[in-house]
Amino acid sequence: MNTLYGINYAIFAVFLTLFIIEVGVALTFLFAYKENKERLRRYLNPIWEITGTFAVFYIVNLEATYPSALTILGNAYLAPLLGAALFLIFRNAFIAYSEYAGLARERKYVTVYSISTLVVAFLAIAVLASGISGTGINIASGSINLVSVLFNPFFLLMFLSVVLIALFVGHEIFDATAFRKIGPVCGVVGVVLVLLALHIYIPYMLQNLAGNFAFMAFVIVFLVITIVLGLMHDGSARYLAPVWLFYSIVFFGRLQYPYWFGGLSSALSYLANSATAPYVIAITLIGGLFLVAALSYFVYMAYIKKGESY
Amino acid sequence: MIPIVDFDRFLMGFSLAVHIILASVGIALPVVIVLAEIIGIRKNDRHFTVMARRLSLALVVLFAVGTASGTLVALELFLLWPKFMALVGQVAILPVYIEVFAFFLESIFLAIYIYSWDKFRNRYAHALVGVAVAVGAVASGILITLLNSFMNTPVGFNIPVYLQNGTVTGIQPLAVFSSPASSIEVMHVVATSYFAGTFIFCAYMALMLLRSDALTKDYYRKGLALTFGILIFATFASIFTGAISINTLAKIQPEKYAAFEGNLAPVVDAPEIIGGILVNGTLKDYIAIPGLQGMLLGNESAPVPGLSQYPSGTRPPFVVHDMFDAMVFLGFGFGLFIIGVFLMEVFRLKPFERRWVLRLFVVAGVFAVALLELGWAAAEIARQPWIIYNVMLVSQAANYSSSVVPFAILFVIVYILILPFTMFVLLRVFKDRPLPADLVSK
Repeated sequence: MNTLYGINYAIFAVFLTLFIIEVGVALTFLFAYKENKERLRRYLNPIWEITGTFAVFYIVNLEATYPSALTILGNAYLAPLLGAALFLIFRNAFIAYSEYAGLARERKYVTVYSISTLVVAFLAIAVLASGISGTGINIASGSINLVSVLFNPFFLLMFLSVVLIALFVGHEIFDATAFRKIGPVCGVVGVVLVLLALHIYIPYMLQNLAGNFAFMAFVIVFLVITIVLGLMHDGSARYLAPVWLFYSIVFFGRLQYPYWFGGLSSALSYLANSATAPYVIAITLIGGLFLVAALSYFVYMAYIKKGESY
Repeated sequence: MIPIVDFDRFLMGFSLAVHIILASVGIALPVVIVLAEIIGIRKNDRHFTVMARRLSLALVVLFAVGTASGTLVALELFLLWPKFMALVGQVAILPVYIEVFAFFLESIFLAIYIYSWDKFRNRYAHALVGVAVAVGAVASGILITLLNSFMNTPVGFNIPVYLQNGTVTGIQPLAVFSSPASSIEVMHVVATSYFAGTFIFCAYMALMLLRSDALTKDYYRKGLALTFGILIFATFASIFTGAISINTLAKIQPEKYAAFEGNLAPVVDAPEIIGGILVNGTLKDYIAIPGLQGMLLGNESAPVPGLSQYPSGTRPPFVVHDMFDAMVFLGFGFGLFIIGVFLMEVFRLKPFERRWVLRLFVVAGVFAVALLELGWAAAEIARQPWIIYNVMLVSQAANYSSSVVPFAILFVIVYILILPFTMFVLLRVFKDRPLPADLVSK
């Protein structure tokens, strides 16, 4: 795999992992607020801003990695991405408001936050699905048919999968009471729907799978892991679920490599020039080391270390 | 009918106008908070400790809206100006990319600072986490300003070849860090961000001091003294760097300089032109101070740059001259005000106990934000019609999708709703946590 492509996809995978977990939080807030508020808050309060920063990281890395693709992407996806940005403002503002709002207003603010997060997810996944499948985009003219991008079966299947997987991960990480019975089912159905969507609409991604026993075995093992994870009742599922999600996304990216737009276009043809690329790689490595250290310290301080009394 | 490119311009300009205020607060407020915390620890002063805690609540809320507006700007750069970002991505992306890590430094350590306050046995270690937030914030500002410097004085690729056939050759990705405009522009942006960001809280402290009672008076007086201390440095750094930047401009962007100064033609021993309107190519209703402009540039015998030296089709609009004059007028007004208050303090005239001084601070807070916006708008409009000076026109870089029109309207509505609502929420937050209760609680 090309290094620049791999870096860009790894950043995307981390962002998407965090974001899908947040979608799980938003859904749980909407449907089972009271019972799960404390544990969701404990996770979300320190991290929502970092999830947002990963979104910016991905956007800027995309600009550095695929500069010549920006003309197509910018011209085509203006409407859904500006729409997502609009609701991102609500997402950020209302989660911050809700933190200090007091009990009377907190629930209302959290509801606005949750709905905004789901709308951001809907629009962002629509763009991603269009980028993967090529549905609704005219690459030559750099334009899209918005209705087609937002309401095609591939995207709707993908969005449904993301919602189900978010419920599954939400159940695993937060032990969300509302989803105890359906959580594991959501995980399995979510993964099966992704495979089904790919099989029907982007066959090239699964073509390797069909003739490759190792790949097929991997998928079966993956589904078994999903079921086992769903049935685990000790605390370890909480830590394994994000790893499972991250790995699922990386696996998806491996299937897609190196194509965009349903195999019509190779991402490698848009890569940064040879003068800039080494600097992008070096900055990512150095910055990545800093990021790992800072995030480790953050996880320790925010989630592990107990309060001091002085 | 309004061209789509003007909607692009409007949306970008409006988003930046909002973001620049929030970004300035995001740069200045961590410094105020950290200083308050350190003073609180050193002097064992509860007022300063409570101040750090209460202001950090405001920082979280403002940071939330600020990062959303920042993300919007990052998206708009490639959505509204795809061709511009395609070029930037090839030759000048590195500061923008490094800025992400500065942003991470800010957001990760802000989360630690806020949510782990009681987990530090060593209180100075907690303050040190706040320093990381402040460093991340200012580093973000510096790195993004480098991109703006590139737009003013492009470097790092073979421009003649690009202009000839659109091919990007001779790429030097590190050149963007030292473009001719970079050093002075960075210094001026940092100084003015501290100035405007701190002034907002200085005005807030003054307003609350006017309304304070015996229990809270000392708290707000100390808050005003702290923010005023930072403000003294920020004001004079802003004036000093502003003066240098206008002289630098004469050398590296003479067309922009000529527009700022209202010089229609190059003249020797040039007067300083104040105000005026352009009617049929003739300047009217202005004041001229003979020889001052030449003297300020340090060479009275050399002709100053004039707009007539440049093609009429790509000259900046003349309105930037009046904007520039208003900015300089306000800047010097602030300088005199700060000196006046400082001298009152030196001569023990107790300025913070005089209600008229406090009222002036409150009014000046509004003008400080206006000054920040005016300075930024003047600098950006004076580069028009170029997005990258002498390389790419705004019209060449723009996205011509008609979808931008509803979004331009929607974002204005959203910001008009969300900014006052944020202020409302902050007021409610502080109302729900009364200061006297914070001051007496353990």
